[in-house]
Amino acid sequence: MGYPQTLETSSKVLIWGESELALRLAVEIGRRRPVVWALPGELVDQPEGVTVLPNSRLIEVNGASGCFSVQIETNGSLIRQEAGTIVVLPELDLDVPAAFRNNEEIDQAQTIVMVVDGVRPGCYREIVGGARALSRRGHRVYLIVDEVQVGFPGGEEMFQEACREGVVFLKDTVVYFDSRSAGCGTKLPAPAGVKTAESFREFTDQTLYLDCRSLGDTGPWVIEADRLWFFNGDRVRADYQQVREVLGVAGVDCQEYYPFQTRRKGILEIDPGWGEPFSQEEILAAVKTLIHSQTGDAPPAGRYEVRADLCALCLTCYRICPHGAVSFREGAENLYGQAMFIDPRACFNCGRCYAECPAQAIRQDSPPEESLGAVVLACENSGGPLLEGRGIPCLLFPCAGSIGITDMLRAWQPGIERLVIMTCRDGKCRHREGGKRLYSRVERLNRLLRVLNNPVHIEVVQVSAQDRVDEVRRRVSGL
Amino acid sequence: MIVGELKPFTEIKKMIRGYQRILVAGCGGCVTVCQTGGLQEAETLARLLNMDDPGTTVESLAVPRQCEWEFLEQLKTTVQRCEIIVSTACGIGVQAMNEYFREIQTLPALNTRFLGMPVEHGVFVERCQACGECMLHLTGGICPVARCSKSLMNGPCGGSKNGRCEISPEIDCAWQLIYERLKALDQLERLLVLQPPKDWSHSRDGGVRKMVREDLMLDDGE
Amino acid sequence: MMTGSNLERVLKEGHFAVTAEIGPPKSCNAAFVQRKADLLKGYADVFNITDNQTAIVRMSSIAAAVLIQQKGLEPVIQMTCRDRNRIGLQSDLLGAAALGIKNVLCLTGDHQSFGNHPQAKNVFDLDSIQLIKTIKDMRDEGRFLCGEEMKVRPDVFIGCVENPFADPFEFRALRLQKKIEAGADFVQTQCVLDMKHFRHFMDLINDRGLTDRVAVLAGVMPIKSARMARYMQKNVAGMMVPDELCERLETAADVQKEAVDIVVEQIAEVKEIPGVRGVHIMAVAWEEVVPEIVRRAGLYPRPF
Repeated sequence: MGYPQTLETSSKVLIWGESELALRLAVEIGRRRPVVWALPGELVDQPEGVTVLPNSRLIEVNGASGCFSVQIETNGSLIRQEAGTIVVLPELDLDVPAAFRNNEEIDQAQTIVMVVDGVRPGCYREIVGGARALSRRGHRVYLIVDEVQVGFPGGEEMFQEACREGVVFLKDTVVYFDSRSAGCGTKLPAPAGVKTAESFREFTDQTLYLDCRSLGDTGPWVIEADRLWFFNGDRVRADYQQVREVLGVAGVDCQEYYPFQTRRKGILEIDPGWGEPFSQEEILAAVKTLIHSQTGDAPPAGRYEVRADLCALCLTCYRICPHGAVSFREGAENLYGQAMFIDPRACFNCGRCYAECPAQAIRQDSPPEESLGAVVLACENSGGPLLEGRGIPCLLFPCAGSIGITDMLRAWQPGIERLVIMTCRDGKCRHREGGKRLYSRVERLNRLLRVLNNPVHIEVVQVSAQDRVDEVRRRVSGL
Repeated sequence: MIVGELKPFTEIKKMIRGYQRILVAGCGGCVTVCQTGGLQEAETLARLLNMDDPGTTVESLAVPRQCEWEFLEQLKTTVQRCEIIVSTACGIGVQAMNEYFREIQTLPALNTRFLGMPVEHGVFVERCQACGECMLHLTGGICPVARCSKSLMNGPCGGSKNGRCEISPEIDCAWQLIYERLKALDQLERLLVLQPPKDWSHSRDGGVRKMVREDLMLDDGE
Repeated sequence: MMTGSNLERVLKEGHFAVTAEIGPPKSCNAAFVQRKADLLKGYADVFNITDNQTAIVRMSSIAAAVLIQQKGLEPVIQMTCRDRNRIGLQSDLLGAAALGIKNVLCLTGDHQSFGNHPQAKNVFDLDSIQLIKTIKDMRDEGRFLCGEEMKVRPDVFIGCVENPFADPFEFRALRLQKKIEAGADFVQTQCVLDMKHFRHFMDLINDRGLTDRVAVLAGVMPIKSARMARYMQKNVAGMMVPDELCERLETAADVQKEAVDIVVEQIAEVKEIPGVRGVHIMAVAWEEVVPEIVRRAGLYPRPF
């Protein structure tokens, strides 16, 4: 295949956290991906197919989306764990130093500037908490922040409290997260009474550039600070020496903190302490977001893959994929130099692309075996597997939506007048509306079959895996 | 792209009556993209023909483009086994096949509909009529030749209502679109220009069209 | 310019013009046309002979025009761009002029999908505006579209139509301006049922000074039944049929009388609108009502 092998990527998902939610996520993601679940406490439930690391502590995270390398201390020993994706449940203790939180060491009143960049909301809570404590103790505290985040329980109140207590926030927008999934926020103007970048002009003539990472580009500011603290979620990008100079606080006591954070791509944060318990839909939505947060270059390892040499770039798969797993891939060995690409980490193997590819360019790496003569073509999540060994030739597919017209026709043999497609019950398909497309496909084919000399009819039956075998047989035989 | 549509199956059945060894030839170009004549559809048609009459042998395959001699050459050995070819290409492909394979007839399985694009998945709309003299620069990038039911050049007829063409509420009034587009571009004055009668000699009306690029042509014997 | 057209004379003399429409039969029955001619003679200045209206095959406009001409009525032939290319159109115009026809109305033509031969191939080689310009150049420059000269020029009074009720509304006035610039001498509007909208349109074209350059004849149409009104309201593109009008017909004791009353009122109204210089009465398949309308509107006798 012509895919660039620039990165060794991992399909593994590391879940970090301890809660009912963590367990449920481990189970749900575990259906689709290899999962390592690291938790600080003892293991209570062992989810099936999930590697569990109890009594763990997260030491260090390196790498980027698709290829993280995580150092974990588990049961007293250090191990290194590769993961393509990390899910963080942020009720864990933060790496904000205790000194900061208690701040008893700072005696007389000082002017303290804190630069906060790229930390996750949970960490932010800690930092603001510390700032408030300092302010209450008579210090003048400036918080230069990339975003004022209030999208966590009690966040807005805390924010306003902090303002009342004299903490000066230097930022002109406030982000309210409108989803429990990380990364989806709505920027709104700062609420009344909040000190913003505008009010910062009272302290300096300089226009405040709002991205802390670029503070260095804005020319000299003058803040006579006694102390400067950096809280940085991305230690790579900021040049703090330069920032210190810009702020005019070079030479003062400066501390840098790198709380285990982060809003890096590939690290998904889900706050479990937020409002009502999560519903199954929300879990699934979170898993979906997780899967979608993944991009990157990886050789296909999924069940379905696009053969670039056959791909006509018709975009069918790209448009119909219910999981957003299909993207363009540059550098393909074909006429166009690009082909469609099914990201194996985002692919749920529903096979809809395979069923509808007009160029037959999407292949299954393990196609259903001998298909001739099967009278039942079934979704493997439906009652289809119940027919195994019961004298009814049945062919299993990962989803009924993956059964293409040619699959149906290939199954036919002279003498067969009726083919049965077995699908899950309405609303039970795990691949949104997969069934719906199957029905229109079958309808089209039946129209064509009706005019044959030897008419064949294709029937779709809905059978659940929970149905009794008798019932399944009855439905299949059309009685 | 060229948009095609499968002929009624009964019509295809009628065409191939009496033939036993059939090749269904797909095309990897436009008709694959519009999902009517690629490998998948060729196989579907082949299997249907075989189901209709299990006495026949029906093969299917596709070439990247049926409108190029070199690709047709790839079909040679298969064609030798067959009595009749059913092509799921556009009319161009069918003719190329007939011209290339002289001893055997190639029948059309598609009706070639128009030059268009999928405005959404599964919805194809005509966009160009190959009139041979593009005037899109005058009309805000919306073609009145192909998209006005009457190919009007100087504005909408009296049947334009609520942005729809009088002949069907399914059809957008091209001139309404042009009007809005030119308005947005601040070029409404273009609409006041009297468009002279179009020179249709560049279109089909001028006879069969031919384009010769001498710079591209190969010398004899090359 | 004097083409010898009676309509041109009437307009020039400052009279309020009246034109009416005669639909030719779906057969070669000359008597049908002659009967209508007898019925309408003297009630309008000129009579439009439709050209395969709504794309239904009928006796040709020019032939029917000659038939009424023989009866002493002056015809306006309608020419649509649907069925003839520039060769046919120019040729027919020469023929019509040779037969003494003095007026021609240029239209795009209804799409054939509305008619009784929806399988037909349409032409639309020219559009109506290009046709106007073509005829004007034949008349004023003595040139065919291709530039070649002709010896005897067709002296015709050139008309066009405009539909103030179609979209985009703001463009309608500009389109009329284009027709005037192409060479239209008079314009017959789509039948005016929504007076408010029509006034708005007239304001627009008055503002652009178009009424000084072209004679506007407002179209009116007696609607024979409430059902027809409702049908037009729903199904006919480019027509605005107000609810009040439908309701008036629905509640009328004598619908046909009501229909005539309405038209007479409409004529009185449009007469008062600045820039309107006549009416065009489209009594589709109800031509016999025209004399009554013209009389009751106080437009009879016509100036001769």
